[in-house]
Amino acid sequence: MEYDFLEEVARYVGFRDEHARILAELKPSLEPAFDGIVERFYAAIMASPDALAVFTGGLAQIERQKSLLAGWLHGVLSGRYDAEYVRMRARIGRTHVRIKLDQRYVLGGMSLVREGLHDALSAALAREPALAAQLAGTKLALARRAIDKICDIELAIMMQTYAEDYAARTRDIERLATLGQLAGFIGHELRNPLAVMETSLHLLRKRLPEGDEAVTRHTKKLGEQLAMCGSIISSLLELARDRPLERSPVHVRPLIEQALENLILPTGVVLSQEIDPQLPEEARVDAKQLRQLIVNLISNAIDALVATEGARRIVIGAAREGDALLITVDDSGGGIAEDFRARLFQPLATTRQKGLGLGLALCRRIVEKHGGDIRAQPGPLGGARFEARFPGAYAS
Amino acid sequence: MTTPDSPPRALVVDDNRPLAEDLAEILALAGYDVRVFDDPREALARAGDLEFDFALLDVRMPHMDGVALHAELCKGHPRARFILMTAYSEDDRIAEALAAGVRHVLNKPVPLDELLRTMEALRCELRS
Repeated sequence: MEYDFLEEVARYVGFRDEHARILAELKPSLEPAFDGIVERFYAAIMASPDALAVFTGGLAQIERQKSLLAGWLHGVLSGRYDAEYVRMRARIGRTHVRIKLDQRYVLGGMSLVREGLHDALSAALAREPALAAQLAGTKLALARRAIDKICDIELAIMMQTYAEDYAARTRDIERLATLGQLAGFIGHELRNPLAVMETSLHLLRKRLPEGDEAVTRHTKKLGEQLAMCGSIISSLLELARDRPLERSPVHVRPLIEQALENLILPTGVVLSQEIDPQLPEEARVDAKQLRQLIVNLISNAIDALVATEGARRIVIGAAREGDALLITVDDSGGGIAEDFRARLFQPLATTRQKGLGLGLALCRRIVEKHGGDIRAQPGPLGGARFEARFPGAYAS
Repeated sequence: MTTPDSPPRALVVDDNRPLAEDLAEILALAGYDVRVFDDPREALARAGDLEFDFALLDVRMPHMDGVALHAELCKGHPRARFILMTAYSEDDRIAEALAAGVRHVLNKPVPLDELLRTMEALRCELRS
């Protein structure tokens, strides 16, 4: 988000220098009320199960968020509304988007903040005669208007981050679809010449004199490389096939076993399963797509471990969370670079030497088709943790 | 019709001429008497004079696809067994073909062991 956006909104709501100045003047008098505003804000969240649900890090995360909110309140009254201010505010907005906080809670939260600041001003006026004298006459109205206007601007910035996220997602979906079409075209067109190469190799083998070791070695290599081309083409075609969702009762444990069967683990990589013993036997999901997601997440974890020294571990987990199936994949790799996190699930985004950067984009497509979401965060093994949620998997 | 003494007869139709020829050669090496066409219209025009036990047809071909060709060919050869080959994801068309009696569908590149195994199994079926 650019500074232009702030300028435009400020102009629209009539926020001028005098408003900025008075907010900065009010700040010392309103600061004592910040803790109270933060507490009321989070009391409202605690009272709403849906809002609370996005704080997956539990109370520790909420404590962190409280101190961030207090810092944010300082920013609201800083009096400096420049490019740096927009950058910081947009970052907070993007955090809301990332943790999937519904926009109605942002609106509700801003309403509480606005009310809290007005109450804080009333309390300060009653408490500080000097302030009351300073704000006598029309200046009090200006102060109250400044609070309203800055809250409107804050809200506009937050809503803009949601709009930008929506636009980025739409772009990603279109990009994936275009890539899918291209992959499909290339994949299909390559299958025919590849078929000829395979049949010709087959015939060549039949006619070659036996016992020539070099000939055998080279034809074997040709065969292996052709098989590799075939498997690359199959992955391209998998991308091209945006299958509609077909939910059916799926036995999750055997499906995980099957998905792991064909994976080749590099030497030294230990893969273990942590499947909740209480996990109900059947989940209503799309079996093929869930298997694909597991294979992609594990492959991604394997790639993350390539450059890792020491213990190289991957843990795949499955648990029930409300009516959702939760699939987790943890690795002990280097984790996800902060600046890459926002692009992690975008098609063609990769930090790796190998691969196209489509695996995680496909994972997101699979989860979102199920109405769920996928997140990446620092995990318990020191690397990344991916969490894919499939809501409705255990709906009665 | 095939007797235990005569070689089984196969028809290969694929507009990809090099592939059609290779497949014909592979089947000939496996003991089949093979006729090969790279134009489905020609295969259909000649079908009346031809006897065959198996037909290996490509799905996507110009002028007439393998599914339509199967529908025409099986009218005059009700006992013949049909196998389709495809390089494309044409799930709906494939489902139609299977419903119309096609016995097996192979993805390209054609897995040759699977092809020969399938033909052998169908051959046993014809004998019984």
